[in-house]
Amino acid sequence: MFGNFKKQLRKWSRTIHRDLSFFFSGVIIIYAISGFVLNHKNKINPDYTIKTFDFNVAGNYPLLKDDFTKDRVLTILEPYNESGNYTKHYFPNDNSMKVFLKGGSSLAIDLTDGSGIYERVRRRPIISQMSRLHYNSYKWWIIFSDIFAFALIIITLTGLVMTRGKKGLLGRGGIELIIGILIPLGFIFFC
Amino acid sequence: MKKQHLLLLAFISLMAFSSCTGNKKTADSDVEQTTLSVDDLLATAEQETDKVVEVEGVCTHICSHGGKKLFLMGSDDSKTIRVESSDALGAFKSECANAMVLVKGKLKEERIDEAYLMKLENELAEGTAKEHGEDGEGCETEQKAQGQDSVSNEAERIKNFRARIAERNETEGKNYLSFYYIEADEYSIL
Repeated sequence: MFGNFKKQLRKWSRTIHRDLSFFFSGVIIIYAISGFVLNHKNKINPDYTIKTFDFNVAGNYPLLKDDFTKDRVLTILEPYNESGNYTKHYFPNDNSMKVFLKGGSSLAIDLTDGSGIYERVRRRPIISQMSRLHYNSYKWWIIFSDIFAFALIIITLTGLVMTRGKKGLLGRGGIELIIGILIPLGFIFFC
Repeated sequence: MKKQHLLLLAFISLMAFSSCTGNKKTADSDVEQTTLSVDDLLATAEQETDKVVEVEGVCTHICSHGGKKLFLMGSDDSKTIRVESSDALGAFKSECANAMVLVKGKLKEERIDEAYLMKLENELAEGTAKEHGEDGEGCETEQKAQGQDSVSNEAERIKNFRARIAERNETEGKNYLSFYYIEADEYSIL
């Protein structure tokens, strides 16, 4: 009787474990990659690649604010193919000018010596979308990822009981389980 | 049987994706709204509090954690207002950055008073204060919006708030500071 129950439990665990694993494989990979990138976000910007270019604006220094009409700013943007992305320019203080560009790029000029920096921002494909999902931005994604969270518990529990014998919970699997639990506990209590 | 499974899967997918397309929600009323600049909105914020407003400005920053806050700038960075997204609206699109953005939503007042500052001090002492910005150093854009761009740490920030509360109490008889933000219902990139 009990033996039959264990047999049925293992059988169903294998089925559930297999099907849920197939179904959630994509999400597991998304969370794994975006989690890795977010762990290292000080070194890898998950959303953008940023590159800066130095340039100089000729003229009599200090450059005058009034000289920076929209047309002149557009001329400065032309070499970088950004004139079509002009949003607005303004003067954060008496010595500098900043230009906002659609897409997230910007350009700043030091009026005292004409030195400028163009910061080109480009969206990082795939990883930026993955990290956006990781942050649970959409209502329906939150619901889906909640289901995924519970499914992970089911995948884990079914994985624990589906193998029998010396590779199962009472053998090597059990030792691996204990080690795997001790590692996070060590971080919680000693770090 | 297989066909039924596929149809069910397709239906679930359709339901899920149909709700996350676009960034606009249906407006609750047909009342015509005047679009304000950030400068004008901040100038009349006290009267407009808890009302639905429509404002446009340059989006100078989207909070990197979650993307549910952005900042709209008016004529300069001292005229900046925070916009918060609702759960239903989700994160602001990254395309908003440095673009002109039109936001419609309810204007809310955030008051900073002595009770708020004491709570913040306690949280800082206990290490439970909510961190924001990259690495928890605080959001520079928000500090600028609150007139605190020269303040470098939380202690100085609290001191600065206290001095300004005292000043306001003396001049206006109000022992708190008022900052305004918008709870966005909808937005669009212009």
